[in-house]
Formats: sequence, structure tokens, C-alpha cells
Amino acid sequence: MDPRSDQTFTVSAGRNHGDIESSTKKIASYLTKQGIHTDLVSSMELSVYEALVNIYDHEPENFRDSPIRVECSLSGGLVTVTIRYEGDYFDMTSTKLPDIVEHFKKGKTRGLGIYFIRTLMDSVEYSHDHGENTLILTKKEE
Amino acid sequence: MGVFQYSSSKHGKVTLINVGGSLDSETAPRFDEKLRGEIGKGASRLVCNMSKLDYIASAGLGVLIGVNDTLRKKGGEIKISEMNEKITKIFKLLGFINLFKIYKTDDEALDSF
Repeated sequence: MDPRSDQTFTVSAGRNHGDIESSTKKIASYLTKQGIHTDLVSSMELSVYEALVNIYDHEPENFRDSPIRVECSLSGGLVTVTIRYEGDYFDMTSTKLPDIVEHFKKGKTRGLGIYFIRTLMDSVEYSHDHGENTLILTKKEE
Repeated sequence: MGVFQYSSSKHGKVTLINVGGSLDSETAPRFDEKLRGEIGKGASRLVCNMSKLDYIASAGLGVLIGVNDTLRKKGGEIKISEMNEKITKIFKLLGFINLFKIYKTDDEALDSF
């Protein structure tokens, strides 16, 4: 059994660039201290950052004071980050990804953040219940 | 994240950009402004040295894609040199390694124009 399986690490981020940056760094630092490979830490750090920026950029103003909770857990060789936040329904897992190289060669950049997350993670799950969104990012340890 | 370094120098008809620190959603607009400033001064052939770049998020990559599109319409291009191991891995994971022409050294990139 993974000795780290009972451990979780939680941070609360305000909806501003400073908090998004510091929360992302805290998650990366926690994973590094747990001995997670640097490549996986980089992928998770970037995915969490993109997810938080996406929430910050697209959520309506009336949710601006509501913090985003980011919980990180390790179990069975899986690194899981769960992001919970109040806001409107937006399922980034259902967005159709374009033919990425052709899309970006044309200078189009819409959907780039979502592309980052869905490419870097093994699994991305989304649910919406009574105004609370939950985004679960999972990556397997090699 | 958060720290952004930028400098540029002319090498004949090519402009060499040195970018360091982070290209994230906060710093990317400044990077875009700097690159558009180079284009505004007539530059169409750019080399971007990424040896001191610690972090690149989608906003930073979006700037490179947008600027490259602008330059191509003018017959120019932005090429990348000295990409460090961390950024190279991210580009490979994302499938972006073939999106730009990437060179090991500044000289190779400058000579390629």
C-alpha cells in the first residue's frame, strides 16, 4: 500500500493572479516533497494553473469573492487534484478539440488552455451540482 | 511564475530575442507587446532564445502562435533557439515540437534565415 495514500494537501485560492500563482506553486512543491517525478509535477502544475486561469477568466463577476478549493491526493500510483468552485456550468471535458497543429498554424489560440489540460492529464472529470463545479485532474505515476 | 525578462538585439536582418522567467497569463501580454513593438519597427525575422525560460503556459504559447501568424503574412517567421530541457519536454508532451522551427544554438537559428 502506498504510504502516502492517506495524505491530502489542500489550498484555497482567491480569484486573482497572485493567488492562482501561489496556489499552483504550493501544489507543485507538495508533489515534489512527496517524491513525485519532476515531469509529472510539471504537467500537473501547468494543468492546475490552466484550470485556475480558465475559471478566473470565464466566471462571472458575482463569483469573484468565492474562493477556489484545490485538493491534492496520492493513492495507488495516481496523483489526483480536485478543484471545487462556485460558478456557472462549464464542462471543459466536452469541448471538441480542433486538429491542433492546423488550428494553431492558422494563428488561432482559442481552446489552448483546455488543450493543455486534456493533453497533459490522463483523465479529466467534471461535475456540476447545485452551483458547485468539481474538476478532477488525474495523472498516473510512471 | 510572474518574473519576466526580455532583451533584443539586431543581427543583420534578424532580431534575436532573449526571453526569461515565465510566460504565463500575467506576463504574456507584456511579451506580446514587446514582440509587436519589434514588428512595428520593421522586424519580420525573429529568433527567440528560450534558454532562460522557466515556465510557459497557454497564454505564452498563444503569443508565439499569434506573432508567428502575423510574421508569416509579412513573409517572415519566428524561430526558437536554445530551448531548455524543461520547456522541450512540455512542447513534446503537447505535440508542439513541430509547430515552430527549433535550433540548438542562436547562430544556427540566425543563419537559417
